[in-house]
Amino acid sequence: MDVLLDMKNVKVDIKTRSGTFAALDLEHLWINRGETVALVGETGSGKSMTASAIMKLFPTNKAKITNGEILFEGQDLVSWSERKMEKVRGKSMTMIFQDPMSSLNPVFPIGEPMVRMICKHLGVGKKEAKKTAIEALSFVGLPDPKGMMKRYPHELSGGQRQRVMISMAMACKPKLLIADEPTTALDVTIQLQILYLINQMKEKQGTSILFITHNLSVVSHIADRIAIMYGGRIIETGRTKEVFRSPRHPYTKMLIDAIPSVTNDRERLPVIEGMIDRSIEGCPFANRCPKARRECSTQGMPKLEGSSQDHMAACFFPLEEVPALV
Amino acid sequence: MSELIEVKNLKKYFPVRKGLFGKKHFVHAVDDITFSIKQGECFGLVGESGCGKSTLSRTILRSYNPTEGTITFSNKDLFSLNKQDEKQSRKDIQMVFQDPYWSVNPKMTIGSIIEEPIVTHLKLTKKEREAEAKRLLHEVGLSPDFYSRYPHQLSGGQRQRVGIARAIALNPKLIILDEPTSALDMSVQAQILNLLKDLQRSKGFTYLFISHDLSVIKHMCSRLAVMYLGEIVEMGEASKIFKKPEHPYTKLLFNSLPTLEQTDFTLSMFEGEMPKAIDPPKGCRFASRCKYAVDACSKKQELFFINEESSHQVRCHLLK
Repeated sequence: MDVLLDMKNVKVDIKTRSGTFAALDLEHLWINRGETVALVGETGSGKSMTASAIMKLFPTNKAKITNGEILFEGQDLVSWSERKMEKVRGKSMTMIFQDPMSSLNPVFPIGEPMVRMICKHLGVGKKEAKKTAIEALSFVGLPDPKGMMKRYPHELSGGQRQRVMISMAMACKPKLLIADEPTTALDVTIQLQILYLINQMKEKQGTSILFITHNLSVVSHIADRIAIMYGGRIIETGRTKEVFRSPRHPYTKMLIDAIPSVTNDRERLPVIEGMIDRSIEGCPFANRCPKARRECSTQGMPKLEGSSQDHMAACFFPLEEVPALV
Repeated sequence: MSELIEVKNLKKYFPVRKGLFGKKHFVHAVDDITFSIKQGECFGLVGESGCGKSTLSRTILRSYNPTEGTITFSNKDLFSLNKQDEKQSRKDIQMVFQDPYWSVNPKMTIGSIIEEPIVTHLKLTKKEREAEAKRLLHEVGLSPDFYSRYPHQLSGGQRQRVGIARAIALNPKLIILDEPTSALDMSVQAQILNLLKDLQRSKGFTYLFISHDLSVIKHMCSRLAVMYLGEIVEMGEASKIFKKPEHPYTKLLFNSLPTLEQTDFTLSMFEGEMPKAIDPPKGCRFASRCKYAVDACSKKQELFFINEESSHQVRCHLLK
């Protein structure tokens, strides 16, 4: 398949008063055209930092890409100037966030930024842009798209605002959509609508999607491939079904087991003891891993390994593969 | 087992006016709700945002006075207590909030946060209070070193443990848990749920567990009620409802929930959102989104038992 985005050995450092903090150390992450890749991890695992690195929009100017390459359609974004990045952002790659209220300007009706953005990126006139915007709004199933253009963000519900964000994102037919926890703040029925629309973008426009979330259950139904992050690193990646069927990294297995289930009854949920310790040399999970041996923290960082690119794990002693049911 | 709390025909309306001289409307936040929780039980309350879960819990805490209806707690009417009983009931009902980042005062040490309710309600010396706070920290699985730390030095899960320690400080009878884990990571969520279960077993607490996450409710609760637009639409034993949800809204909720076990989950577009609770329709409130809706749905719907012997109730005339 055709690779759209390819990140290799990307390192992001944040300078702090007490020294440099290695926020991200990505060995390899790639997204094919027309594919959904889910990035899963807990708070502070580096999911959002990955998105920031791709867009080159860091929350602080102390953060910097210090190593590696980010190939977008074969071109290395790391060396690009801010001017050049501005032309790509919102057009070829775009992003939606957890809280749509903070991405929409409360003093403008929602049609305003949409038209402005479409004019800029597609180089069309205002009239034409308005038409495109209305089309996009009706695609996401908002009632009365024409009237919707004149409504202000505060007049809409959370689900409607998120749909406005999706329609904005898709109006310019981007190649890559980064969705950073787009459904976390929403109710389950509304979550389903948003997941459906994001999936539609992939199917109708062939957009590649990087879906960032901490919710494994959501991921299992929307993503083609999945990458699990821990401590700023990808520790397991592969086809979604493969990873869920037979997790190779102990952390992945423990994460899946910790989810309460609707179908089976367990008196207690298995937990992952301890806290993340970023000062460990070697495997970042070594201090919490029940299978850890002494070598785990002395041999340096484990590399992503596996029989094929369809399933790899960064673990010195990966779990045995569960044979597939025939 | 005896009933610890009985809520009867509880209503809470909030007046709103459209414009300065506009007509007065009412938001029916909680509308005619009746349920009871037994001693030592974990009762689940499920519903989307805006369905009235939080208004209900705040009314039980007496942050609001109800428009109509009664709440009986330990065989006493909560809204006509004498001074002494009122103070006792404040001790007996405690709450754990959703967001551990905002529910603790950043200027106070963990120790003084936990001691706050003890200072208000119990006459203890400073030394005794400190010992008590450290005992509580131990109880929720934190080391006594946390006593002199500040909230910003703690992770989300640790803060939630502090919130729980504060809630159990006075040995309450009922603890209202308002989405206690929805702001937490998956692995931390499992720790907190285990802690809550352990505490319930060792101390015999009664929980009112509010959540929109059905799998968490399934894990924790023995009985549950599903709320929609201020009304309970389905109520009964958790195992039965999870096995066979009856009300169309409950079914919709269950179908919208992606779980790891499902293999045939399809993403589909379910149209519509919950309407506003201002002057809601007379009949079934879910009718505007219900795919089974017929004309008769515009008449008033009552909660009724599905069959004589079960405690499973629904509010849908199609199931009669």
